[in-house]
Amino acid sequence: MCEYCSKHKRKKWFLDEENYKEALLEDKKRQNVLQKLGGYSHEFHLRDNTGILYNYQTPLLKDVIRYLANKSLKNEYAGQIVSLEDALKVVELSDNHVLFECACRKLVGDKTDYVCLNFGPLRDLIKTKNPKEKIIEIDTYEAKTILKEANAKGLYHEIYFAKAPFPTTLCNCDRKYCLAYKDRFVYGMDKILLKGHEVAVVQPGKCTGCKKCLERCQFGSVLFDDATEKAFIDTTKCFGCGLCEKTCPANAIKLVNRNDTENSKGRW
Amino acid sequence: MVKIYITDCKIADSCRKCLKICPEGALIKVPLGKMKSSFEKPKYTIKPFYDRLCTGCGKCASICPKGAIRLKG
Repeated sequence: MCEYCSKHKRKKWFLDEENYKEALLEDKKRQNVLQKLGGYSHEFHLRDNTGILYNYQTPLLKDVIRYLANKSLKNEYAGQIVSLEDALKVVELSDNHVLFECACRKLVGDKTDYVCLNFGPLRDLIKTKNPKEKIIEIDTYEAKTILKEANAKGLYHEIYFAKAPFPTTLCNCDRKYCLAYKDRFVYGMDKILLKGHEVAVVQPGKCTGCKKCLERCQFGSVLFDDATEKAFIDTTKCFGCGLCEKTCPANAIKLVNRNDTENSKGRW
Repeated sequence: MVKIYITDCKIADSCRKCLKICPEGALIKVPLGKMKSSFEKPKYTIKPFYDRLCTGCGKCASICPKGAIRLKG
């Protein structure tokens, strides 16, 4: 279980129905975060926070800023990778599903794509605060279809909270656009994109050496052993997104608990 | 590491060609000025926030109609 999961319950934080309750909306800090979501505030936040990391590249200052930023993310807006199965369960636990235009794609690739699946208080918040913003309201069946299609295209899923552990958004991401991915890999903002609760493992007996998993992995954790002609996974790097598992034609890959493997235990 | 130098082109809002062409997603559109309200559309400029991802392919410099992008290294 990660730091956001309730220790005594042994449930993943985004699969615990207690964390979806409306009572959590009374928290003032959380209300603050929710008010900042939607609209262009996302972009100013990015300029001012990532902008600081970009401008202050000297070693000591960079480390201090990163340390402070990572500490504050628990009370803000940050995410964790989830497998398709878990993402589908989240859709069942949540309501008021709505699609927004993906902010990351607008800022990085200038693409318009409605892949940002939001739920809970965000739908009504956007409708009252910015009625002109184009949103697409959907039901749970459509939400699940969108997740499955995104997965088939090779997009990984992330779940975001508005002040941990209140889930609000399910992203369908690509490392080319995903700002959380870039902030983690370029600036070391580990807490903005936590690794998932699982890691992938290849069963060599079933692997045919087709390399489809190699092409699909966005985190560089699938490797190929030329001697045995089989794929294997570096569990110190694996984020547990499950894209390799879904793409393997021989069903040779499975997801196991992160804490069950020595190499990946406690590595978030 | 490739260093990217971008001058303010003043047409970032309408052009956006460099953003679309970069294969690594190293360039990003950032808002100018102070935040007035969450929903008032700001003006933008292009910044290479993720220049660590840059492979030096030079596509952005070639496609920029104002010649505002320069690569070094």
